[in-house]
Amino acid sequence: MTTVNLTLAFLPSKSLVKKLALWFKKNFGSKVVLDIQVDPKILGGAILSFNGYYRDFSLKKKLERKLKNF
Amino acid sequence: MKSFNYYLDKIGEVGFVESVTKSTAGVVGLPGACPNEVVLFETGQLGQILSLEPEKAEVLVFSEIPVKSGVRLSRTAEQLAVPVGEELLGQVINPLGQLLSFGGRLRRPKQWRVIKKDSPGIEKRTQVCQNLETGVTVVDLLVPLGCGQRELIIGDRKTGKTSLLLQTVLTQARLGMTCIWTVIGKDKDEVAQIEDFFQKQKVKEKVVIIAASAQEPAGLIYLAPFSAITLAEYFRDNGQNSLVVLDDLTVHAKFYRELALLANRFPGRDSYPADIFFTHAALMEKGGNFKISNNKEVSITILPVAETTEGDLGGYIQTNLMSMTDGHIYFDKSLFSQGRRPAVNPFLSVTRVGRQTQTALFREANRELMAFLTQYQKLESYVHFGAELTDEVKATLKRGERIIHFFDQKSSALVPANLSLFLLACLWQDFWPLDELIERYFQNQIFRQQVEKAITSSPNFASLIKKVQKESLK
Repeated sequence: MTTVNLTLAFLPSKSLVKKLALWFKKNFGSKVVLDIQVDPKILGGAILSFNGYYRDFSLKKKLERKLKNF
Repeated sequence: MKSFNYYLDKIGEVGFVESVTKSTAGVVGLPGACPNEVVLFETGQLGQILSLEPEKAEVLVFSEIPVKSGVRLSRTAEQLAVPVGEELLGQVINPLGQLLSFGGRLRRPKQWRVIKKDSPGIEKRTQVCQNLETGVTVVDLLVPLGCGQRELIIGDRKTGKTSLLLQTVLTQARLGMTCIWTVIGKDKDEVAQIEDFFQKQKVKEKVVIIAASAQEPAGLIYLAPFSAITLAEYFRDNGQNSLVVLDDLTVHAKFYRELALLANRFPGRDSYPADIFFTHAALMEKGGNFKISNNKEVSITILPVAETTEGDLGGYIQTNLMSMTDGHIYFDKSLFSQGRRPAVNPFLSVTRVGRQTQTALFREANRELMAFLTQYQKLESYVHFGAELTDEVKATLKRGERIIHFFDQKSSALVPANLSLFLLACLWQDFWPLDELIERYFQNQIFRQQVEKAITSSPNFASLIKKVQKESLK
């Protein structure tokens, strides 16, 4: 059983959770647990960590990177 | 070191602490982790990968505050590095280069150096050819050491091993050698005492003390000798000779065993991990006499300490260390209880490269003295039979007693090697105002010059004896 940690900026609606669950089920089989956390500080997008890999697709990170170049 | 989030973002791998012991943590995740890589915990602690399994990794934690289960950690893609530099001289630091002493000013070196386990090959080494004076008569005359030698100091606890090392470091520091004193798993008191000793003797500025006392996490204690050697290698590359004291490696082995067992490694003999020999040999191999640029030679002398129990030289770690070093100085408990200080047993001590660094004169004196001591020991056992003694035997016994007395040296006293040899020549002449001669040597500069001159101008022991007759019987 593997866990997918998903951090979102908003509380997802039931339909969205269902949609996500279906997508993971389709791509990784039924042995995946979705662990959804809500953190408004990331502004938008999502942070994913799965199987030891960590990817930050949040709006906060994107803005930080953009601002760094100024 | 950057922040946790920096590494998480840069490398894109995350791990979670699953199990925690006193000094290690079992983690999952971190798919790209490599052996010895440094990891950073979310809570700020530093760790190092100790062992890797397909689904799990064991991490050594370098902090007194234990990590909690469930905490995230990140790879850093860096090997463990310690700060190195002249700035460390005169300071007490822990194996990660953090300052421990509170007195004095705080100086942080700018340079960092990765702790590496491989050592320079044969092409970068040269013969050990320079003598290393210890200031201890029995060692300088009977078990001489050379710069670049690895000499094991072995003996039961409380037999004067540390005293000999303190005397050696003091002598060498006064001669300008850079010294590194490593305390591995000892009491905090001892660190303070050693620091105090160097301070009082005014050589603290030539000594770096790397301390990992027994209360520190096992990871730090394990790291201590490696950190010391890395610093010595920095000095080597800078063209400075260094003397490294590792006090002591039997304790180091015990802490390494604790770590390895906690990390679920398969235990070997006496439950020590299978690579304990490799670990210590990797340390010892760093010592030696090295060629650097401009045909210069630089040495790293290593004096590791091993503790024995009840004088048993056959222990696992003890014999390992003996086979890695260029000889050992054995502190005999029975000699100690007879009141001999230092309790060095010259018959059971070995020096493999020390004699080649001596001048012909010293070598000859060494041979004569050793031959005499062997004879004296034999005669001593005869005397127990209560046989009537000839005058010759009586004279030998008398001289033997005097030599034993001559080797007695307070732990606070340093005797330069030249003075030792001069006194020996006096003794051979049955000219025996020992204390008076020592006092004269230290107070009368002309006499000191005479002694030095007598020694440098004598081609052999016999001629030195003749000179002594002329000079001191006046």
